Formats: sequence, structure tokens, C-alpha cells
Amino acid sequence: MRTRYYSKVSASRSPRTRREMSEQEKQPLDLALTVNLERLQTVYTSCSDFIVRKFAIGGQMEAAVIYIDGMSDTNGIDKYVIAPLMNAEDAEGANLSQLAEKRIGVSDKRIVSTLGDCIGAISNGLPVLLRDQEAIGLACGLIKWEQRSIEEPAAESAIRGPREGFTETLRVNTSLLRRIIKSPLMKLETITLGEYTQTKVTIAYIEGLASASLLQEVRSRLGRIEIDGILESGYIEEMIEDTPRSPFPQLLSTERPDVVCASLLEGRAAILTEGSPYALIAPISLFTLLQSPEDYYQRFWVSTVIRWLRYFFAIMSLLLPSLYVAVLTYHQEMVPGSLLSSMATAREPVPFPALIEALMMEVTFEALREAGLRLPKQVGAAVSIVGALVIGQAAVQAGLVSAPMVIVVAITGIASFMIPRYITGIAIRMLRFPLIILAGTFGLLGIMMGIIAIVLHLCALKSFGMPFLHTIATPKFREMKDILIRAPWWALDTRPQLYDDQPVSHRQPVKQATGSGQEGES
Amino acid sequence: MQDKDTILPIQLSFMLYPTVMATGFLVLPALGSLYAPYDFWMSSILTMIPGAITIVLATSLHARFPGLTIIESGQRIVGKVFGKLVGLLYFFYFLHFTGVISREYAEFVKSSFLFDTPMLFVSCSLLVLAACAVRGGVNVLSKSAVIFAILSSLPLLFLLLLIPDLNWTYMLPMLSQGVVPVLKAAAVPQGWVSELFLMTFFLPYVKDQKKAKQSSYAALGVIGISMMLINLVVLMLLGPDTSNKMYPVLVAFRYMSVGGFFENLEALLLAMWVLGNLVKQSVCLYATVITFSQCFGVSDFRSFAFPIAILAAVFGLWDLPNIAALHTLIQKVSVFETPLFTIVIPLLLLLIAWMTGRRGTNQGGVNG
Amino acid sequence: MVRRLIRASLLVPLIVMLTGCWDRNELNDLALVTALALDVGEDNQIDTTIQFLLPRSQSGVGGTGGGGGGSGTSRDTAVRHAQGSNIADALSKLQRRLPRKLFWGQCKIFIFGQGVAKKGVQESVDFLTRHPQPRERSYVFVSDGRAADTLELFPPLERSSAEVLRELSDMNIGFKLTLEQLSIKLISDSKAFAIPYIHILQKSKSAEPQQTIPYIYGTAIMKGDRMIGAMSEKVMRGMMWINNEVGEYTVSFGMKGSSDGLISLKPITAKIKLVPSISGDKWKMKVKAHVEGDMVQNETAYNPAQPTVLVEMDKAFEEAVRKRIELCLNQAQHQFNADIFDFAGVYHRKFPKLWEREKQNWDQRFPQVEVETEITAHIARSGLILAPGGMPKEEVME
Repeated sequence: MRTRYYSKVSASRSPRTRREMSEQEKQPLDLALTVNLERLQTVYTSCSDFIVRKFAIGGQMEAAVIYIDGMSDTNGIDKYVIAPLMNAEDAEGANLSQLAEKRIGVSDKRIVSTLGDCIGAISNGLPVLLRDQEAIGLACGLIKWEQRSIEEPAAESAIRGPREGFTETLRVNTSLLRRIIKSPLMKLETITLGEYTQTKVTIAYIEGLASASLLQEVRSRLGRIEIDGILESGYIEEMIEDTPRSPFPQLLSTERPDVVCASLLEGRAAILTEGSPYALIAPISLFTLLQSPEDYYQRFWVSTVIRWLRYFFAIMSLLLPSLYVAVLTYHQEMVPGSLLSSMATAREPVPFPALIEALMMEVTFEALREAGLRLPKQVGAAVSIVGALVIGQAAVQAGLVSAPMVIVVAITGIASFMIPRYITGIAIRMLRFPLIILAGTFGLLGIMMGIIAIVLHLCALKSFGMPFLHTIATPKFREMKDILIRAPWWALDTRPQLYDDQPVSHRQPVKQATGSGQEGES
Repeated sequence: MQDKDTILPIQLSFMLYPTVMATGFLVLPALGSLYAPYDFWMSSILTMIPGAITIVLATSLHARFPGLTIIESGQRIVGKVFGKLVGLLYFFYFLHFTGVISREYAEFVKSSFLFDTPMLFVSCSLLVLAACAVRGGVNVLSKSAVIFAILSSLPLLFLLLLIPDLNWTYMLPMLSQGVVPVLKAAAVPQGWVSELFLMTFFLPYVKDQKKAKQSSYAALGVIGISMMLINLVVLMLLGPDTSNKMYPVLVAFRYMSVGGFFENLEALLLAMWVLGNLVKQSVCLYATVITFSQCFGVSDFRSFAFPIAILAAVFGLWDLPNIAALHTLIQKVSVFETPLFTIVIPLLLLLIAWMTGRRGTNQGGVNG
Repeated sequence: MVRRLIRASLLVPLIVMLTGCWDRNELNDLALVTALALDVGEDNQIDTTIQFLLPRSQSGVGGTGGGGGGSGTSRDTAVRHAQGSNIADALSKLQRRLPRKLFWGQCKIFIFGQGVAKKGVQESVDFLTRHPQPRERSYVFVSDGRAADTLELFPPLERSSAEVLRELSDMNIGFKLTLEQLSIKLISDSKAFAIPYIHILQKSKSAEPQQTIPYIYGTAIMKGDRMIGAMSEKVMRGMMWINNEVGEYTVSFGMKGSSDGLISLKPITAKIKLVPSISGDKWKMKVKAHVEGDMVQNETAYNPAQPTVLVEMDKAFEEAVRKRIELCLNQAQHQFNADIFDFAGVYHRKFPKLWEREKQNWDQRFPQVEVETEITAHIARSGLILAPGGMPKEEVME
């Protein structure tokens, strides 16, 4: 596995990086060890973590192990590479690969023959063994660096479902995937992006399920990226989106391996980035953003009801404050009589128009949310207490805002937290502000104008060629069973048809073990 | 992964439904009630006949000239010069039509909701959005139509909340004056239903022509049922007072009350109605823009969406000095004008094509 | 892109500015009208009185509600009036005397003073149905005396007298009429109808002055658009029977033979059918009624558990219903000559051709319509006890 992975790295290095590389790097290694070491020393000038350990194989032949301190397992190098070789009695005349076979107790090792290969291996933490009088080197798989252990995903917790989350290490992440999908049909193509960071980015998909045109598009979009560095998958997301100016995310970012695997099984592709616990999934629709992985782990009635609740509150979080403003300033007759009079009483001491009141409160709320988010957990609780006191009580008593407005803002806040994807919640919350202004300008009509504009935008929006309002705006009743409801698993017998030109693919129907004869049709 | 302009048959019906229903349904009962105060609900059945004729015309014209709109096929049938002339006629008709519906919309909003907001602002704001939809091409048009059509037909369900207030005796005596008043009552709505002919501009994008036909009949059926529902509910609610109301459906919505707190829902009606109007205006604007570009041989129709939208708004405002003129136009002129363009001219074109045996396909792609 | 954003952001202040004008109405700038009363003013002008809610008077605002406000009456409403040559004129004058904009969206009560009702309500109905703000579902009433007086009351329950009237109407006991129904009735075949008639309830002894409510008692009889008289509550019940609007109401009647004690039934369900017939010049109307009721009180000594007794009771019930209906028919036909039952519509629906010819003679014809009543009445259930409650067994008449 690892051999292929490494060779892929050098094969698919982006053109820019390759051009920037000096001619020297393409050169094969020299026979003389000193020349090779000199060359490497010049490449790694002023790199204090660059270590060259010279020794003699069997006490005769000059050799060196080159590695970067902190990225390689020094213990392993001592124990499995240097010690056996130094004590090698039969080193005479044997070439490097023969020696390796006999003496080096490392499972993963491969030959590097150019300077560039050498540098690539060293930078990735593979110690490289060079020997005098031989124009090849040996890269040993003794990578070891400090890494975070696998933890429960912080941003996407679930009551039921696996508690593993991705970490910052790409290899760990791919192993998490491989542990779920064991079929070799799951492919992991790796490329390197970022001129300086040389970040590895893996495209994961299942052969036969993901459409060829999608993979083609993913590869070509990733291949076009030219950037100094990639620190997070967000960099990639922004550069490969269909419409970067849209407030809606067109790729799903998740730190749950189960979500990635479920998407792969639906024929989507995932992009994993070294250094980021977030995987990107494409293509997605608006409804993907509103679904929670738990929908599929719970009983389908529960999931269906929760899904509807979530849709309802997603709409509420977008519209509630603007509806409140519109009704209160334009369509007062819609409020039931007794409620209207108590609202009028509540608003009596407030000097601001409802529009200003709403904007003020919403901005304050957003500030509170953001403040609570960035602070350490212990302080965050304090912020929320202060917020509740300031907004809830004092502001009302001071006559700055009316109590109904506080309720509306609170409900909106709760509603926006119901959206399982944090980033989607933010997109919706952002759109709330223009809608409030429109509501204060033209009432319900203004809100409708805003909604029309949003829907038109969503209709034009695509995620890797898939319409963002897939299955709703292009009605396909076969697909509705996973959108409007969450059909039981035995009824989800077709995979989502992501593109129109894709044939409908059937899942193996699950036979129920009850013996009642209820079987899905194939 | 490039953008292919296709419309699913079901999207076609979602586009056609609001195109017929949107503006008219507010006034529909009042127009019928003028002629047949107790029987006008029956007229909804009659209106389906011209609707069916227009579907037959549009689809058979398209079957003869696959991939071509009436403007293009007209040029093939009667020659380039006459064809362009006919196209020009259509352009002015659609332009005027778009203007009138945007005026109707603005008039309703202004008289019942936003009394002080300038009319130009009301009508332009929606037309601009419609132009945005048109700029998106048929793809955006058809997708948005699905969402908006579903939302805009919600008021029909709300009408059912009025059931406790209905008085069925207003339906009697049935046909006391014979069928002639019912025929008269059907005069105006039949014009609206024949607007189904606008499907000629979308047929080239539907893959399965047979299903396209079916779904347009389905749209027609739902239109007939909706009109009947509206007529019946309003008749049983307002009885003889229907003909005196400017917007009987609005009154019905104002009359709604569920449990004493869910009431005064007319703003909701407005909200939903705006969506239906957007679909209608964007479909009409699309027809206008496409007619224009095909008539003058312009390949990119998108850049004309905004100018023509503004032109239509101007048509709507200047052509009609007051609401009485608008009513006369709807009741007296449109009754003949619409069928002329949606039935008579297409029928003539089809006859000529049939006699001369001309057929044709779309070479070089659909314009746009 | 950046330049575009800058250009777009220039629009934002523009839109925010726009909010200042046009149709925006802050709740703080509205006077929530709860009821409108119309009376005849000086010089034959119209006198409009509105009742509106006072938002401040509720306790709990800012915590400074009370101290020791001596009077127990909480005044949640105030009234204001103005005169003008018509309603629109009067209301525009009224607006000049009120610092807040009149808001009609929650006004559900329109009261015609007796004077206005007698002069005709059509012009007022035109205003109320043409203006976009008054609601078609609001209830209309005619008041005994000046309508404005009914608004100057401070009811012990409910926040305003308008609210009292609305709740009373919603209770489904008495007769009610909405504005839209009034508008339909004005152009109906019969040219006559009834409007609920309201009186001011005698205040209880301990109450403050004005601390009482208006209540519905009887109906005003309208012919054309003018009031020509009023019917008492009892007679009105007969009308409601014929119009199939029995409602929740208790029927009490005596038994033949035992003059002391009444039997009361509630609730009553009734199916009424009007069967018109024309033979030559004779127009007939058969009122078919099938009535059922549950016993709630039995003052007589009879035991309703006995089938034979129950038959007797049914007969008495039937007689009671007939009397009520006939009393009302008699008054409508002969005293007022007003077809408040919409017999005209019944004839129109049954004989549309003939009606077209005869409709202008309806005024003369209505008093001569022969009305026949055919009533079947049953006591369906006798409640939770059988024999008269608390009566020694030997006194019960089987």
C-alpha cells in the first residue's frame, strides 16, 4: 500500500511545483556518497532539524542515514537500520537492496534514485539510507511524529453512532475509512498541493459507484490549484466550489468517517487533506446540508419527524425575525387581537422602530454567539450567562427592546442551532439580515422578494454539476424517500441519482429476517 | 459536466399551472358572476376546451417542427419575411401581455396592501426578479417554477378552511337562465387557459414529447379543478354579492377564521400570490425575450431580459390610465386578443404547413 | 468584484432610508380600534364614535403599575367621537383629534345606533365594505338608543365592551350577523332581514357607574336598508328556528294538565326544512321541523322514564316549538311585513322562472303566504336521573 502511495506522490506532483524544482533535483543520485550528501546539505541549508548520521556498513563501507528530527523514529533507526548494518559481516560486495533484504528489519522500504525523490522522502519523515558507490538510496518507513489521538468529533456529536472523528493525520484518516469500507473498490488517489506545504490531498471514491465525469471534474479542479500552502480543507473548498460567491457551502465538510463512507456509498467523492480533520464531500444538495448522520441510525419514524422539525426550524431561523418585523409594522391585523394589544403594551416604552430593534438584537445575538465560541469553555459559560441577563432581562426593563422581540431572537437562535451543519447555520443566519431589512421596507412583500431572490440563486447553484436543489426542483419521486421522509433502510433500495445521465443504480435490497415474507424487490 | 438545458415533463406542468392561474384567480369569480350569478362555477369546465385545443396545437406544431418554437417554425412555414412579421406581432402581444399582468399585480398590491408605495416600484421589483430568472435560462426558470408553483397553490388549500361558513343554497337555482350565461361566464377564463400556448417556448427542451403532452393535460386538469374550487367556495361564501367584489378571493381570505386566532390571512394570500406571479411573469417575459431574439436573429437572449422587462413595465403603466380601463381590457379585449394569438394564428400556421407539407427540424441548435 | 461590492453597498443606505416612508406603521403609532359606533349627529350629520385600546394601562410595564389606585375599575379603553357629513368625512375629522393612526385590522364590532338604522344603513355598508381596512367578518349590531353609549362601558370581565359583544356572539347562543352577511342580505331576494339588537345591561348594585356590559336581546327588523321595528328575544327564537340556527339554548314548556312546573330541554338539535308550493295564486310554505332535546330540568311530577308519559311530554314539546314558530311568523308577516326568513329565496330557488315574474310583487305577497308547520319533537334523553329528583315515590305520576 505504502509503496504505491509514495510513487503516486512523485507521479502526480502539480506542474508548478515540478517547474520550480531545480534541474538538480531531477538528477539521479551520484555514485559518491559525499557528493550526494553535499547536494542534500545545500538543499537543506539552515534547517536545524536536518540530521545526517554517517556510519560504516560492516565497518567498511561508508553510509549515511538522513532524516528530519522529530518526524522519524530515531529508536527504530538505531535498532533496525544502523545497528544491523554496522554489525553486518557479509556486507562485502552486496548491494543496497540485497543488504536491505537481509539486514534491515523494516517492513516498508523502497528505492529512491533521484535527489528529488530523496527530498520528498525525507520531508515526509522517511529516513533515507545512502551508501557509497551506489547511485540509489533506500527510504525506510520509520515515520513517527506526535499526533492527536482519535477523539469524538467536537463539532458533530451524535447520540447514536460511531464516536470516532478524523484527526490531522491523513494516513490515520484514510485508515479510518478503510476500516469501514474494506472493499478494494474504494480507491484513494493522492496528490500533493501547495508549493511550500506540499500537502497531501487524497480523493476517495468507490469505483463503479462514483460517476466517471465527477471524478474527472474533481481531479481537474484539484489539479488547477496553485497556492503557496494549504493549511485546512477550507482552502481547497473555496478554490474548487462552483460558485464561490454564494453564501451556501457547495461542499460538505465533515469530521466523521461514517458520514464520508455513507457519501462514498452513495456515489459521491470525498477529499481528505493532510493536516485537517475535515473531509470535503462533493457533490451535495441543500438537503445534504440539512441532514444529520443520526437520521440514518435512528428509527425511521423518529428520523422523519426530526427531519421535518429541522426543515421547519431552518426556515424559521431564516424568516422568523423578518416575519416579526413585517407583521408588526405592516400587517398588524394578522396578530390575534388580544396578543396584539399585549404586544402594543410591550412595545410602548421602546423608542426604536421594530426594524432597528430587530437588527440591534440580532447583531447582539450574533456577537454573543461568536464570543462564546472563541473563548475557552469555562469563560464561554460566563458569556452566555451575561448574555442571557443583558439581553433577556436588563434590555427589556430598560425599555431598549420589547419582550416579544427577545423571544423571537431566542427562538431564532435555537432554530439556527438545530441545523446539524454549523456552516449551513451561518449561511442561513447571514441571509437573515437582508431579509429583515426587506421586511422593514416592504413588509411581507419584501420578504417574498428576498425569498424569490434566494430561491432563484439556489436554482442556479450547482455542486460539481449537480443541481443544488436536486430532487425538489427537479422532481424525482424515487429520490424523495430520502428527502421528504427518511424511508426505512429496506425501502432505500436505490442509490441517489446524482446526475441526470447516471443510470439508476439499485442497492441489494435488505431482506428482513422476520420471515413475514416482506422483501424488497431487486 | 456542462449545463444542459432540459426540462422534465413534470416541471413543464409546474410552469404552466401558475402561468394560467396566478394573476387571474383573484378576480375569477367576480368576472363569471357578472353573467351567471348562480351557475358561474360550471364555466370552469367549459374553459378547459380551448385549453385542450391550445395544447393540441402547440404539440402538433412542435411535432411537425421538432426543436423549434412557433416563431422559428413560423419562419419556415410562411417564409422569412412573413414569418418575421408574425414574430413581430407575437413580440408586441407578449410584451403588452407581460405589461398588463405586471400592472394587474401592482394594482392589487397597491389597492389592498401597500397603499402609499409607488406603483412603479411594486411592478418593477417583481419584473426585475423575473428578468433575473429569465437570465438564468430555462433551467432556472423550470426549477424555480416547481418551488414557487407548489407554494403559490397553498391558498387553494386555505380556502377549504372556509367550509363552516359556506352556504350551499347560493348555488340554486341551477341553470335557471339556460346555458348561455354560463358560456358568457366562461369567456374571460377561457382566454387565460389558452395562455397554455406559452408551452411552445418550452417544448423544445423536453426530452420525452409524449410525456410533455401528458403533463400539460395534467396541468390543464388541475387548472380546471382549481378554478372550480375557487368558484364554488366563493359562490357559496359570497352568493349574490360576488359580482360586486373587486377581488372576491381576497374577501374570502379576509373572511377566514380558525378558532378565533388564525384569521385575517390576506397577507399570506399576497405572499403566496406573489410567487405565482413571479412564475407567470418570468414565463411571459421569457416568451417575449425569446420571440424578440428569434425574430431579430440574436443569438444571446440573456442580455435582453432586463431592457425588455423595463419596457414591459412601461407598457403596463402607460397603456392603462385606471383600473376601469384594465377591467375593460380584461373583460372585452383580452377575450378575443388571447385566442387570436394562442389559437387562431397557430391553427392557420399549422394548416398552411399541413397543406404545403412542410416539416423541419432544428438545425444549428435552439436559439439560446 | 470589489468594485461591484462597493457599488452594491451603496444601495444599502438607500433601502434603509426607504423604510422611513411609504406604508410602514409602527405599533407605537397606531390606535387599535376595537369598535365603531354610528349615530345621527346634529344637522343630520353622522356621528362616529370609536373605542380604542389604551396600551399603557396594563400593569407590569416597567414594574411601575399601581401604588394604591383607588378605583377598582381598570380602564383599558377610551372613546373618541367626531361628526361629519358621511362616515369617511367623520373619521377623517376624528383622526385629527387622535395622535395615533386609526388601525381597523382588529375592529370586529360595528354598531349602528337606532337613529342611523332607521335612516338606512346602505351608505355605511358601502364605506365599510369598500374601505380595505374594516374586516368583512366583523359583527354588526343595532343598539337600542345611541350606539356610542354602549362603547362607554367598562365591563367587569373582558377588556372592552367590544370584546364582550364579540364573545357573546361567538358563544353561539343568540343570533349574529357579520358585515359580509349584512352586505349579502341587503341585496337578497327578500329585501328584509334581522340584525342583532343590543341593550345595556342594568348594572349591579355594587358596580361602579358605567361598569356594565352591552348584551344582545332580540333583533332589529330591517326592511330594505331601514329599521322598521324590533323583535323581542322570545320572538327572535322563532326566527332562529325557521332559519335553522337553534344554537345552544334552553327550551322550557309546561305540560297540559299540570299547570305548575315546566320541563326544560338543552341542548336542542333541530332539522328544519322549508317546502314551498304554489297552487294557482296561492303560495304556500310548509315548515317541516324535526326536533330533539335532552331534559335538564323537570319541575312536573311526571316520570319521563315511562314511555307513555314521554309521549305526552313529546307532544307538549312539539306544541311549544310550534307556538314559538307561529308567534314569530305572525309578527313578521302581519306586524312588520318583513320576510326575515328569506322565504323569497326559497321560492326563487324552487321556482326560478315564476320568481322572475313575481319578484316585484313580493311585498304584497309575503303577508299572504300560507305557512303550515309540521313538527315532530322528541325528548331524546332524560338526563342522569329518572323520576323527578327529590320527590317521594308516591307523588311521582307514572
